[in-house]
Amino acid sequence: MGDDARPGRQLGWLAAPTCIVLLFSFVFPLALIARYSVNEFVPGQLMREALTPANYVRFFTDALFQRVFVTTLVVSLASGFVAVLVGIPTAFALRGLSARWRSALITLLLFPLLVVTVVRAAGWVALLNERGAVNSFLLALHVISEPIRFLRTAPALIVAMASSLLPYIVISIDSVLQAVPRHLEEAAMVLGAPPRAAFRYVILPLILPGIVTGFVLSFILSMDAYATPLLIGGSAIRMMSPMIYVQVSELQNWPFASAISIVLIVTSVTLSALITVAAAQRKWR
Amino acid sequence: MSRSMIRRSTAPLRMSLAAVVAFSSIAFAAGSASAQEVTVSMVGGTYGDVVEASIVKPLEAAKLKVTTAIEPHPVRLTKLVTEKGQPGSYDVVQFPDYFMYQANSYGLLQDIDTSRITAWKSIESAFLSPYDVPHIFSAAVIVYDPAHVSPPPTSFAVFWDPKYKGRVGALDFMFPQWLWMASTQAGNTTNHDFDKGWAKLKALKDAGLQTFPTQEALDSAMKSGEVWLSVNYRARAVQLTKAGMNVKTVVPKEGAWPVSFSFGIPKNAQHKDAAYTFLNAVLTPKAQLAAAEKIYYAPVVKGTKLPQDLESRVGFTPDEVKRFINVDFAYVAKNSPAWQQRWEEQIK
Repeated sequence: MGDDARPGRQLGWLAAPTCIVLLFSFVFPLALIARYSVNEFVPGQLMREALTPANYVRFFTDALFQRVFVTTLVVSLASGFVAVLVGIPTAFALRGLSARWRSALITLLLFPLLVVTVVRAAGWVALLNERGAVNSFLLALHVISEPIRFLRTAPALIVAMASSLLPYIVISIDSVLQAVPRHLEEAAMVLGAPPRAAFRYVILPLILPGIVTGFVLSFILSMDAYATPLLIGGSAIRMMSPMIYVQVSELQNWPFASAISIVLIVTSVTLSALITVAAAQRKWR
Repeated sequence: MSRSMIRRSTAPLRMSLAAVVAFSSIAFAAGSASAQEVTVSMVGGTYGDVVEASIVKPLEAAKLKVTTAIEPHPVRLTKLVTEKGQPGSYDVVQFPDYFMYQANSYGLLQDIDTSRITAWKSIESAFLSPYDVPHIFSAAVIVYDPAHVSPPPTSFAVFWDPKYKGRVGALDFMFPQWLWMASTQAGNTTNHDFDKGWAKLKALKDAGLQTFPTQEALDSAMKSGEVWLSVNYRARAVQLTKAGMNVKTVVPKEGAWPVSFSFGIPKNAQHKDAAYTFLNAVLTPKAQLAAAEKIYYAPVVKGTKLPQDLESRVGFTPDEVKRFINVDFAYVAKNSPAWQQRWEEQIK
């Protein structure tokens, strides 16, 4: 066992550059933000040094911020969930293809990630506004007589967010699915399991780590999302990242903005850890 | 917990931050051998292009090395705050009026020696301030779609006209402007007492006021016909007409909320002489004209000659300027946090 550990120990220094970068670019700034979050805000001044829980108390007791917190959680979980629902069949479709087609389609799948988030969100705005492509199409077919307001609604935001998360989900499921031998399903079905049961009891447990990784990644990306909630959710669907920006840029309230940031980070990390642990223990069964 | 304990608890953090700032200052100083150079921090986009072409290029032709740092206003303000008391990275900073007021109130700017600004006496008096030199101005006015709004509005009262129910749009970050405007409909004629406007704003919300977090979102709603009436900068409205949209602007009888963009010198600037050279270039006819032609903001230097059709679209008549509210930034800064939260809760 000692022999097994030694090579790892010898190569540990290889992680030093990453650790140093993380220390300066993440740990120090985060510690500073945590410190600011217990300072006191005085309008017209930047902040007064203090050790007060007031900013956290305000966030969790004020109805407005409670709502923003819940909205952020619900939209993030829903976007991840929708992306998983669409991502699983996509990953299965990829599995059935030849290697050449598979790599071509994965490249296509990654293509949207090359487009800046703001531009992608602007595309959704062009599609969904009152004179947008979707409304024009439905009006032309006489399905509707008045344009529907899609923008600034939760479903539109969730669909737009899920679409941008899809590549992460599909790739993380695909990487696990590739390692699942096809004869396992065939064996299950030969032994009398209907296809649905073969998927539920044989395949799903095997690809679950991929689903969970994709979901957790999507969840964290959604919790942090800024441009898409701003452009598609607008003023109606409010999430935490745009709220932090308003506190910093419009009000210069660094202590409160810092407190919201810490809540956002702690919530993302805690929930992601819980989901991962729960999945590892298969509590969902 | 005692204050000394608080100090102790943050000392390592502050020391590490100070070390980073000091290190970057040394690096900066090492790179600045020539005396005739100036580092300017400002926003980019079309504004940055105009500054580059009409201010930076002529200065460089006159052998002044100008380095521009392009970044959003909050980022620049944050950097100024973190560098306070240390040698600064910037010799000149650009801000809109409200940000500039805040930078000054945090003790980050030095007062302008007006004897070193050649055109100081020609600046529109409404935009004179002790701590900056204005570049351009516009004002938040009524912007409307003439295809739907007729006759042309003359008062902010138009927003409460039942004919336009549900077709009024507001930009979230203009909450102080909307509150002031609503207060004028509740009889306020001062530059204080904005809180008188809440009942009127609430009524507007109940009548279907739509709110937008970004200019782009409001532009898109006006373009698609969702919104017919709003309050926005005249310069923005001219940009929209240039992009093919049919919108018009009016300064109503109650007045308008001016906005100016200006340049100031941080207290910790390293090249103050060159900074004054830059500030003087901001007021040259070339710089003033270029801003009007390219981004449709009005010149702050009195007597700047604009082509007739440009003047009529981007400019403000002396009578309109007289009706501008004299914004008390101290009052706005003190009340904004409470107003913003109420806007979030009741108006959005």
